[in-house]
Amino acid sequence: MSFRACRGISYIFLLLLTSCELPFDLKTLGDRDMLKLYCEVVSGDTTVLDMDVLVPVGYHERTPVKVGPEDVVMTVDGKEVEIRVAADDDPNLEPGTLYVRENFPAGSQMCVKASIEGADPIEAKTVMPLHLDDYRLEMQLTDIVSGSYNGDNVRDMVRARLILPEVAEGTHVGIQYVVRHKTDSCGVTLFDEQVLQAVYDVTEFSSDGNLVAGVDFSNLTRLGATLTYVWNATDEYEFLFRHLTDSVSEWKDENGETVTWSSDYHFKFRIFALSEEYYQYHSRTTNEFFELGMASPSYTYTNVHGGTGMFGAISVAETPWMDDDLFGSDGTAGKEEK
Amino acid sequence: MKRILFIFILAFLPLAVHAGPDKTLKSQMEVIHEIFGVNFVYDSSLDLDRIAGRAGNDVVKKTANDILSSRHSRLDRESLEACLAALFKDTGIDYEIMKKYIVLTKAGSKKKPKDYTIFIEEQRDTIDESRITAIIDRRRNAAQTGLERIDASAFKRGFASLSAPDVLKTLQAVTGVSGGTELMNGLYVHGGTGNDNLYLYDGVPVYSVSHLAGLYSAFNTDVVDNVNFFKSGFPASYGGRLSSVVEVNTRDGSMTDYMGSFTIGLINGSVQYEGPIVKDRTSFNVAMRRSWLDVLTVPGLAIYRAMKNNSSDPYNDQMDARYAMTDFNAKITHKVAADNVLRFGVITGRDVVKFAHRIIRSDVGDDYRFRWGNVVGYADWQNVIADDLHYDLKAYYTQHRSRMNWDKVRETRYERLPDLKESWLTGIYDIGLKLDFDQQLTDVHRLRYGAEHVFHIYRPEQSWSTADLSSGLMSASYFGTETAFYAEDEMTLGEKVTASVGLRDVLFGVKGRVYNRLEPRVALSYRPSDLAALKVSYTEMNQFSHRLVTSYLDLPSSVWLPSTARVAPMHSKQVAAGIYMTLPFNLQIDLEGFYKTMDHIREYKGYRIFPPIENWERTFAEGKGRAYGMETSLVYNTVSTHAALNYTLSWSERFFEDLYPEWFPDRLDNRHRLNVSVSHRFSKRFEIYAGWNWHSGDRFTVESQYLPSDDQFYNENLFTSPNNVKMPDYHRLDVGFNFHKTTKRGNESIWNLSVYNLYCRMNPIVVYTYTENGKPISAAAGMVPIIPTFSYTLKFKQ
Repeated sequence: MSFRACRGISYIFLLLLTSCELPFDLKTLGDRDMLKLYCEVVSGDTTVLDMDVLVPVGYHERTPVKVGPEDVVMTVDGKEVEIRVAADDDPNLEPGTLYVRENFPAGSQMCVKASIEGADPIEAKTVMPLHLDDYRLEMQLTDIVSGSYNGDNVRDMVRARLILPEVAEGTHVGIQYVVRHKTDSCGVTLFDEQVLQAVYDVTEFSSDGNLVAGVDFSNLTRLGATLTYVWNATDEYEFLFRHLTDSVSEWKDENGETVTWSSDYHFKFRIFALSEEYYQYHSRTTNEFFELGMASPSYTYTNVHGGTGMFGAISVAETPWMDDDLFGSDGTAGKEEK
Repeated sequence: MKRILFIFILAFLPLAVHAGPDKTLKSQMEVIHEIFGVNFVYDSSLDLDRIAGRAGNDVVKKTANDILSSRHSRLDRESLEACLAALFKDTGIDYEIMKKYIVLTKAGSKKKPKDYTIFIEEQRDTIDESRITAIIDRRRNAAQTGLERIDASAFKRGFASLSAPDVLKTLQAVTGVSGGTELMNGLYVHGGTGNDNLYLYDGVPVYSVSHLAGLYSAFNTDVVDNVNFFKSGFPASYGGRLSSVVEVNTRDGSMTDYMGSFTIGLINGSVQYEGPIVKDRTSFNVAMRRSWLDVLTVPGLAIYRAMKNNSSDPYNDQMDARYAMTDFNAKITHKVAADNVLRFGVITGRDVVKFAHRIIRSDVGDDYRFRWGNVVGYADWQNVIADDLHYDLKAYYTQHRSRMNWDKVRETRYERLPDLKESWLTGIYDIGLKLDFDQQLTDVHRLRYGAEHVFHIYRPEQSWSTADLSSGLMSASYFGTETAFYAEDEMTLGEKVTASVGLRDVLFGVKGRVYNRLEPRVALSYRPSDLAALKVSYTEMNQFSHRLVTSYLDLPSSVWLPSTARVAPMHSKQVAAGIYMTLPFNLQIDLEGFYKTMDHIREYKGYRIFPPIENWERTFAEGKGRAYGMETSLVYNTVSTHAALNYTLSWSERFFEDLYPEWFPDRLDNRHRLNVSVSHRFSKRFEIYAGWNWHSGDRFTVESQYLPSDDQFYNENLFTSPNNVKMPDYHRLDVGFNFHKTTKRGNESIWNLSVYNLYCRMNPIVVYTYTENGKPISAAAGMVPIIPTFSYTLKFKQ
């Protein structure tokens, strides 16, 4: 074989070895637009219908049409409800946003249908979950090191156990721990509300109330970045949250004057009941193996037939703001009940 | 010329004829084969290792000598019949000459030779195949559809993936089977999940069948005798999985001779040895394999470490990494009598991955060890009670276990922290007892019936950790009992029709729940002629043990869990029908269709590498699947050439409400699949294999919709449906060459050179999208290039 032929074959071989990528035409994914609906129905409040028109990735330069109220129909228990459009002066709503202002009792069957030219019509359904009118919250301060309160003012954790009455099997219940921090030094409010994550292991109880086993809290479904911990209502869960202690600090400034800084923390819990669709959509996580082509992604959930997105419902209950005065010398709190 | 060659061969016959004082029937059959060029066909239950009678020996010897002395100018049927009559006189063995084949049956047997379609494979030029092997192809006569029987020689036709012939990679070429991720031992049969195949090793279930994440199968082909592969039409004696049964049967050790082989390959080696413990009564067969990737990496890393040790960098670190695989097979066969055989077997397999990282000056670092593997042990008793009734009693133990240990030495700037140790263990352990009867009740009815009881211990997770502030043991265990009864009647309804009607009843008990499932198994075969058969079958299968995986790779982090009160058993229904024909010119063609549904299958919907055991029932979505299609197989077979063209047209879909509200394509919804292979033996010294695989691209999930925004940084690509994209088609060419040589000591050496993916097509395994200048771009990427491997095998006989 001649030298030139050897060299040619070598070049071909090198090209083959380095050609790890093949072009992929995104236009093969289709050319139809798609409707995206994102809607969290919250009882007794404004419900925003976030409607977008998605264009195919292969035709990204296309300008999608806008969705107007005439394109959307929402019914509750078979009756049509009025869909409004936010005006320029509507508070907390962007102009042009579609919304509904209705009260949805537990068990309400809700349905949204929409259609525009160039995209498939969509239909999505959900059911309003039960309202958590009755609950009991047992709280105790505890020491992060020893696991029990010993009265030495080292109170880093609040242990919260949520006890619900008889609820429907399969109801998804969630909890958020919200903290507010005020200071009277210069009258500055550092933050009105901040959701803190659960710090430590949660504990699962058996049906007779005895401790079963330590459970890593990361196994509990956490809804994305909302730091809402969700579990099935037939289980009882106990949570540990970081407790921020009221404090007073003094120091001398450059003029020798005493500066007093006092921190005043308050906390409360938000308790949710989620519809199945809401839970499924927000509990999606990315399987890391997917990036290597070694697993399926798990974030394609939708209950919007013909489109994408989520149409779900959520009911919310809140405790009032609480502070350290709630706890006795043994760290036990009065039981918050509603 | 032919006569001269023949005489040259026969010149050695006196050595064979006179070799040793005791000639067995089999050795005399070899002589007859050499003289007359005929091939013997027989059922393996015939005792051919028995010593031949003196009269038979004399006739064979005289015939051989007469030919050498040219007293017989031509070889005729009369001489052949004289040899056969003398050899098999008073042995209880009947013979029938059918052109070039001599069919042997037990005297008075109800099975008539004309019912058999004969396929012979002869390895006359290799030592371990000097005895004639015969495979009786019952595909056209059994009522079941979807049966493939593969002889051990098929694994050694010339291609060795990564220098080792592989059972599962051979099965991937069968119609209706997808191999999944490239280079891996996936077996996705008729739209199955890959975790729903029953692997039996000498009748014992094996849970993990791969080494190194699926690069090697756990079956050592040095000891494999044959493989039965069922895709549909499952007999009632099999159960517990949805999609397929892979029954790997190992070879009994030779009762007369000591022989073996050893192989040195590019990344592994193997040794096999067999022989009699008590001649003609008890034999052994042992084999072992080991990889030596660590032999290559360990010295390399040692040199690297030595070089880094000289560095003055205070944070200079060292690394050590190694991987090793070993497996071991041992089998003892004891013949209590001709029809009464005891077998004892042990199979172990083990993979080890070690990784260590250290900061030299401070000794801070990690030690990581991952070990996984199988252990199988069994005792088997096969006995013939009467001519028409025999049974098989088997007791077994099988386990699969994975263990991970992680030790971390830590420090801050000021102090040394307590060492962190973590341990994680998962395993499944079975103890089973199985009794099978096979009874030829009448000429029409052949009954198979029996029972199996298995006690399962599932230990999906035992973990232990010394974290900063706490330590504790996390453990989860389940226990399950599985009891199955089955009965099946294979009816011969005249000359043309065979029907098999069976029922399997399975009871699976776990804490809080007992499942009782009935599984009908029906098959019908109609043979309009000796050359064709039409078949149809219907089967239902249930699977009570679930293998939960978090990726497509066969990782040791997957766990086995039982059906529970919340998790129903998986269930499948399958109907299959086909036409099977023998054509002129050594051609066979099969055309088969299937439709299969699956319920209660599982898909992981989380993110962790190690599946979460707490609340596992909720982190895995439950759904359905369906698959249907048509398969065509055209095979050409002669003594020296085997060619096959296998084509499959199929659809495979899934429905998981937790993932998507509509049916969506399965990842391996490959519409077309074609496999063309040829192996040819040019001479006793050289054979070649070539195989071309092509299939429609796998499915993948890609963002398909784009949400434009006025803010250029907020444009978003969205996933809208699973497996919405078909990747580019997959195709590759593999070739293999075997160079045979006889050594000076009369042993046989084989050099194998195999090339995987000869033209180096980088078949895509992932599609990804990204944005460039605001424009979505997509590409499909692959990573498996051309892989040449070689191995050297020496076969010896003492």
